[in-house]
Amino acid sequence: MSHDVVRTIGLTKNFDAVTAVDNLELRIGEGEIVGLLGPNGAGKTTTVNLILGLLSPSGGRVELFGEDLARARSRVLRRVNFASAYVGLPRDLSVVENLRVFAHLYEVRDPSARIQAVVEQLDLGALTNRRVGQLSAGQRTRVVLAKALLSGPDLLLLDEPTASMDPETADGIRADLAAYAAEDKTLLWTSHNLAEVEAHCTRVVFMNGGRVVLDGPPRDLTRHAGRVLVRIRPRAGLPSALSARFQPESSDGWLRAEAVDEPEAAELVAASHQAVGLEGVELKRPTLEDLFLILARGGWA
Amino acid sequence: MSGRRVLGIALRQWLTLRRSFPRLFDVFYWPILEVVLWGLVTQYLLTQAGASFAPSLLIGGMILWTLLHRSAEDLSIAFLEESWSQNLPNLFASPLRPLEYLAASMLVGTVKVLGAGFAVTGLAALFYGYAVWELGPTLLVAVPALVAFGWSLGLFTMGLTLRYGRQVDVLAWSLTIVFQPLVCAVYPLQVLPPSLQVIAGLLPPTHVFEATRAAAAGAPAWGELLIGIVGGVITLALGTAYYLTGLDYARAIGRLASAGE
Repeated sequence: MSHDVVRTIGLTKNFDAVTAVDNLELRIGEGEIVGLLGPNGAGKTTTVNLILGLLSPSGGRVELFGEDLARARSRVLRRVNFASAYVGLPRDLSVVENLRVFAHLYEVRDPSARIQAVVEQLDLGALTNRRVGQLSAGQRTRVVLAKALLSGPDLLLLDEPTASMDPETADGIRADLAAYAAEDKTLLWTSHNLAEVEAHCTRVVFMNGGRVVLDGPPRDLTRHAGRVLVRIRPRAGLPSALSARFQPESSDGWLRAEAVDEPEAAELVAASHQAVGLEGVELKRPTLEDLFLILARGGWA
Repeated sequence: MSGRRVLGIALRQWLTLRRSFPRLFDVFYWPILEVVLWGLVTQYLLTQAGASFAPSLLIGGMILWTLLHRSAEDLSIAFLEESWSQNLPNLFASPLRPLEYLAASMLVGTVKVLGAGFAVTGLAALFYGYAVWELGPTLLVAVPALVAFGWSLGLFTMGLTLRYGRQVDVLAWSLTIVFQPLVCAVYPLQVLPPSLQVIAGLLPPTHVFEATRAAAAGAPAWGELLIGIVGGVITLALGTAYYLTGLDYARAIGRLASAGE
């Protein structure tokens, strides 16, 4: 019996000629907070939907808590919940009515007490009797999150959980999720807010073209990558051999390149300086955001 | 089958009905309007010289047709409401089983159909002196047979929605109407042209309506009724299969996942 909370085995999803997820082998253990990153079309949301059973695989399978999702769907999904900024709740029902309905669907014990707890946790007290359709986008996202936390899931999937929230509310939500994860819960979190992922996730999985291209703790990833970002501002146009290595970064003349290590970075800078002279130079280790941009462009894969 | 999950969906549909005046209005408005209209037509025809027909032919047929029509609409519109409110991903990523969803929808649908049925029956008795319960045991079999066929149409519409998306939403209102002339609710089967009689004969409600007219004339037609109820059960099974395979299809092409967007 596997102890993985999530395990995908050769998971593949094709939409006609497009392969959205390609032979994905992913294991997520108990208590991990995994950030799933990648550019649009990388396969993140498809992966989440496959794990939730909203999509059926074209090949391979999903195991949750050691059980095949396709065979034990109802049983394993009792231990899973999700929140997505892109999925709504019935707008004609009030906040508390929605929560009551989902408390039944997840067979939550002592639903009134549990509803009260998530309402307090997410500061929804003033909204409980308002219809969901009357709430702002940020308030609705909090209600969707309350729905997700209501059942106390062992696996929580979050698709852009802080999208459409003001910074203060988003910080509060991140703190709530961090507290939830501290209870040894497992979180799979897709986000375009890389600072959020870097701060809260214990592991980051980069996807591109339906495949995992990097996987590891955020700090290790940037260190493991071992690359150096080179930014230069040349006095004139670089010779073609050199300019092929750089990409324009902004209209004020800064160019950007990635070097595999520090000696190569130094070589690039020296060659550029020798060729046309430099007005500015900057070398730095990539942040998660830099890595994201590099991988999204297909580099280092 | 989990009773709590069935209760959860039933609660969701009940709250929607209770909170929405237009939806509550819809449950009673059309049935009452149809019975009032056909009751008046019946009254007028009875005053014409030489007119000799049982009131059950029109008003009784319309009451029973209303039950079939409401059953189909209740089921399909409840499902469409989940689609419109972007709630399908929440439901089908939860432990809810597809048959639990159906059981809950049928439970709420039964309450609505009974509510509308009692309202129109009472009106018919009050204003036109027509007592549908005089059909006796035939009525007890006819109602579930017609409701079963109505649910089959609702399930078929749900299956189409899962396969083809919101472009087929309109069928929730229009599909049942296609069957109205064919099932001979307010006239005998012989009225139809021969070619349509063949098609009508394949539809279980046609036999149910023939049986109710026979019962009203004092000669119960149990054979017709049996065909009606067995046919209703068979179409219900086919409708359920179409809905379930529609869910599989929606999972395969991504329609269920994108229903929230």
